[in-house]
Amino acid sequence: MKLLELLRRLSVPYIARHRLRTAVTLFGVALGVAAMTALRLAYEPISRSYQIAVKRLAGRSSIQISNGEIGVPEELLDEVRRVPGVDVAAASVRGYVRLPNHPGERLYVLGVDMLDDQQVRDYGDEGVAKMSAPPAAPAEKPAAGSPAASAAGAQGAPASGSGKLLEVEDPLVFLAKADSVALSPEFLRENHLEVGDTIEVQGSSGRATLRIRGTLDSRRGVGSLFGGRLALMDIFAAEKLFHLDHRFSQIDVVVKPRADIERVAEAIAQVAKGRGVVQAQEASFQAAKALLEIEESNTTFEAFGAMVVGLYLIFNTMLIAVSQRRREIGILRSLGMRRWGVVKLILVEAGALGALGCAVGVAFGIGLARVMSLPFVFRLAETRIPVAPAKIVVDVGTLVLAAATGIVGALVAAAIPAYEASKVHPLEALRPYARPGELTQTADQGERYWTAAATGLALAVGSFVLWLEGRRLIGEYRAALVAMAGFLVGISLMVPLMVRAFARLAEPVLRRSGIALAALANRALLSHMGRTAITTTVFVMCFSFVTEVGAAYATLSKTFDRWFNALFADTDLIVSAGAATLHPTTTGLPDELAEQIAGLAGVSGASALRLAKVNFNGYLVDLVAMDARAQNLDLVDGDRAVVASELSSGKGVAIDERLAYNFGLHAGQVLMLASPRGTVSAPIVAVVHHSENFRDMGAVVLDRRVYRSVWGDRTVDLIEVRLKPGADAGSVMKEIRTRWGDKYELFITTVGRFKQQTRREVERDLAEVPPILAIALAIAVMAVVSSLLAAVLDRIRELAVMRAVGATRRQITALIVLEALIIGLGGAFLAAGIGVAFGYYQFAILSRSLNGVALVYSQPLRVIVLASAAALMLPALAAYLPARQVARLEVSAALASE
Amino acid sequence: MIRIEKLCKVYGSGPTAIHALKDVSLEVRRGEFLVLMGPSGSGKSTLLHLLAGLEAPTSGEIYLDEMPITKMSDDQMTVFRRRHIGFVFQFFNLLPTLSAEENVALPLLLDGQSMKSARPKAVSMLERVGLGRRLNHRPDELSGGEAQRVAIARALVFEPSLLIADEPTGNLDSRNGEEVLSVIRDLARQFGVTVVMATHDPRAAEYGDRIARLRDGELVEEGTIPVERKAVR
Ligand SMILES: Nc1ncnc2c1ncn2[C@@H]1O[C@H](COP(=O)(O)OP(=O)(O)OP(=O)(O)O)[C@@H](O)[C@H]1O
Ligand SMILES: [Mg+2]
Repeated sequence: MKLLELLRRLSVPYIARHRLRTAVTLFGVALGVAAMTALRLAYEPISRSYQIAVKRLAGRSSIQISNGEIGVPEELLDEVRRVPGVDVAAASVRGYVRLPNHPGERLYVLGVDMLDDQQVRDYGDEGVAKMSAPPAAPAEKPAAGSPAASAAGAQGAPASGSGKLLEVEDPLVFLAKADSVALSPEFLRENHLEVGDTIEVQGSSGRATLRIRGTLDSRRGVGSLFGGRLALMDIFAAEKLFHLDHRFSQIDVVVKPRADIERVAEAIAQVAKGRGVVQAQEASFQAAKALLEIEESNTTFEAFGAMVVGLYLIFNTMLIAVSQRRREIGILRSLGMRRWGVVKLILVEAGALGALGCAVGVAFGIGLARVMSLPFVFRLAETRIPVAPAKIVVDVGTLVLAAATGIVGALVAAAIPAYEASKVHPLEALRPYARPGELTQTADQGERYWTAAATGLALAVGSFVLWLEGRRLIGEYRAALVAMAGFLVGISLMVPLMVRAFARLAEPVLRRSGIALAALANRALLSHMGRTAITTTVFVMCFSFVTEVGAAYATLSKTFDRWFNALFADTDLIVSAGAATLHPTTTGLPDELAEQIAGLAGVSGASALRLAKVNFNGYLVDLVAMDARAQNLDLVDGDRAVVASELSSGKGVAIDERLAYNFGLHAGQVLMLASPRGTVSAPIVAVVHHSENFRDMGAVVLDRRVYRSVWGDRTVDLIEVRLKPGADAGSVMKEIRTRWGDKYELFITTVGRFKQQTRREVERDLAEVPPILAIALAIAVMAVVSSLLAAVLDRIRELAVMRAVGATRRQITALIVLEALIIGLGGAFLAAGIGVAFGYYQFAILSRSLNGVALVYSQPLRVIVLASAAALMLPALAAYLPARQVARLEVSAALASE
Repeated sequence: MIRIEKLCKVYGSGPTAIHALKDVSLEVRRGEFLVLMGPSGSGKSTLLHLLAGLEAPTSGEIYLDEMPITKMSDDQMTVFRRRHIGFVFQFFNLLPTLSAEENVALPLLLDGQSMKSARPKAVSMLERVGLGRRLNHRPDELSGGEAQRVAIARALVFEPSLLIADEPTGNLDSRNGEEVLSVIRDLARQFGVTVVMATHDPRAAEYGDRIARLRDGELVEEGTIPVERKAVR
């Protein structure tokens, strides 16, 4: 209770007197806690709602047979049904369609055989509700050869053409017509559609007109997925729409009660013989989990950064508080308070600040989580995984974690200030104007810098050696992360020694320079070396980040160029279908189009490229099928011509660096890939460079003729057009557009434009960098300002004396600004060096281990120069205001005050 | 040399206002050593601060060599103080990060002189106060008496016409105190400096030529010090 009393009488009034600083500190802690909270709150519900979505889509089924976009052959369905232990098997076709008449809208199509499917999936209370047979019914043409249609026809489709609303229990009418589609009421309302209307959809085979014959219950069941953007339709009509040649997207299996799921899955796999990838439901979460983990680790890094800022602010505040209250502490000590008592007092104060910051931070974090989860949902949607924004649930675990990080962090941050406080000598109360620390100065001050630097060097070198030698043991990625962390921590431990060396070198230079004030400023920095070193370290690390980010931009951009230029080496025009080329939601094109385009006047050739997602080791990877042209191969090593001929003769496939990295593959190994014709064993003949995109799992590159014959897929995603010399690109584009533009909703662009547009996508991935950078710079400036503020508060009396012996206000201002300038000067040098080193380390040395991709390292000089100029000027600018404040101080009051 | 006319200083306002100085008028001749005495809170330090231009009076005027200093701008006053007024404090107030020599050179440095040209003046001033061997010592390596002598050297390095000392012996034992006082008196005579010194200590007062007493901000008594009570060299 004694401690509480002290807190009430000493700490509370002190904190109340320094409201602004307290507020800034609280804000810092709150920021860190908010980031941590938001991170946990945003991702957990997303993965949970993803699981719910997958479960809902899977219905009662527990085994899936699929193969990415390729799908599985139709005949597999019956074979699966005969496998012992299989109760029900239902097939479906899935994919996105665009709506030409409703720009911006797209629908996730679920093509099913309703009779089978209602045994697997839940369509809500009413199933397909409110079906109506529109008056135009006789004119409708059922899809030929559709078993569902003929089956329905055989049963007489009793209510067809009656014009009345039909009961939901009978899906036959709905299914009797191959162009039937059921949509959610929300979608209909928002697009001013009604049951009975037709709707145009754009799939990879071109356009189709569907008639709305039902509404889905969107409150629960399958209809509740995709935020009302689900279209339920006939499976065979959907097959045609997506150009799936006698293939289903997926077969869902309900096993018999008490049958062992694993065992049934094994039996199915034996029957399937690689024509599809058999997965128990759990396994299908993996692909999304991998994505989630990448996102989460990115954001964790940011949250961690925010936390460090918060802790730095606490550290700084407590350090200032201690130096301002040395006398008070001295009095307490002289009155009999023990060292531990002082430590406790400081720690409790910091803990209280931390706790208060936590409370604010958690509230803030919940709001942040809501915002954060939105773009994330978008990204998942791009990968064709259906997730609706999840409701954010605040769990006790998160609250405890947030509180623990905030408070423990605050205590850790306050450790050094508390230690400083404990060293305050009782005599400081009696000799109020003794030099701070004078009474307790120890001889080992200098040794500390060397010890820290030696430790830092050992850390940096040790972690590098660990990466070099030990990555086989602990894994490439982990080893590289350790190396990076070791480098950063190591360097920041070495910075204080460098700062001290800098200030010491500057000392005689400045003294001889004749600028007395600069010498005085440097002397002040030297005499509070501890504070100067910590400030400058924070400053340097933040500013080195600027240079590193510059390298990141340039490196990714150069890497992108390498990839793009190789892939589209001699291409003039790009033709694709949909909103934008290579966008995840583009629909495919039939490959005849390439041949037709090649026949146009002015075109010397056209080759097609297919980019299909297939299952591989439980993940979705890209299958890149291209019309073989050697120059498109950007090999990590090996001979282009040889590899090209091996690919085109079907001897093997190439893989990209990402795939090699993620699955530990290399040339010479044999890949086992699922295809509609069964398992394909494909020897790896080469490894090719990857683009700058680190989100995907990797790609298998093969000749498109091989792909077409094995996977039976004639769809292509883009067509590369080469022009004859002298041909006019504009008129060829116009020609293509008038002939096929409407039919396929073509998107035609020059390769230059396409490059720009793709580059923009790359830059979008880097969009989160500038805000982080801004925060880093703000921290850097804040560090300098708060440190100068502390320096000024420490020296109020000294500055008053200077005024008394004849320093003008301007000279006092100049003194403080000069101190900032010296920090900026030393900081700029160190930051440039460390930034370049860090960028090189990360992008040139460690990048293969970090993401599997050999990047084209580039460090723009412009960024170094700009960052150095900013590092030099910002502190001085930031110091100007506090400096002027100090210059205005009441000299006589400051002299009289204790 | 110094002419003070109806000087008033009020801190704060309203019912809580403190009248630290009330209508104080006083003259000090060139070369004179005036001792200000009076109980704690009587306004001694206030008067000295006004005299040094460290703060402005509420009303009244101070003339130094017929120059009305309250009319000066802050910058003008600062430069004037730097060159013409030396100040010695009770608590030495040396800059802890500077050596003795640098502390003494500080006013010269602030005036734009280089360390090269300032150093010989600082060294010779330190020699005069008997600290020729302490040039490179930091304040925390000096005894109280030594520190105060450094402060005196600093106050005199510009060879000012006025030396102001606010209880310069308040923080010293009697032996050190006497040493400091005789340094002040001797150097003041040597340079012809006018001295105004505040003190509680009657023995310190004996070093002066004349005493002015303050009570509650008012000048209550002025008088010369009888020769027989004057401290001897
Ligand atoms: N900045 C200030 N604000 C308010 N009141 C002040 C201020 N400075 C001095 N005073 C008041 O003015 C009066 C005169 O103070 P001053 O310091 O001049 O006394 P002093 O004679 O020097 O006393 P001491 O012998 O204790 O040093 C006192 O009552 C003091 O409280
Ligand atoms: Mg006083």
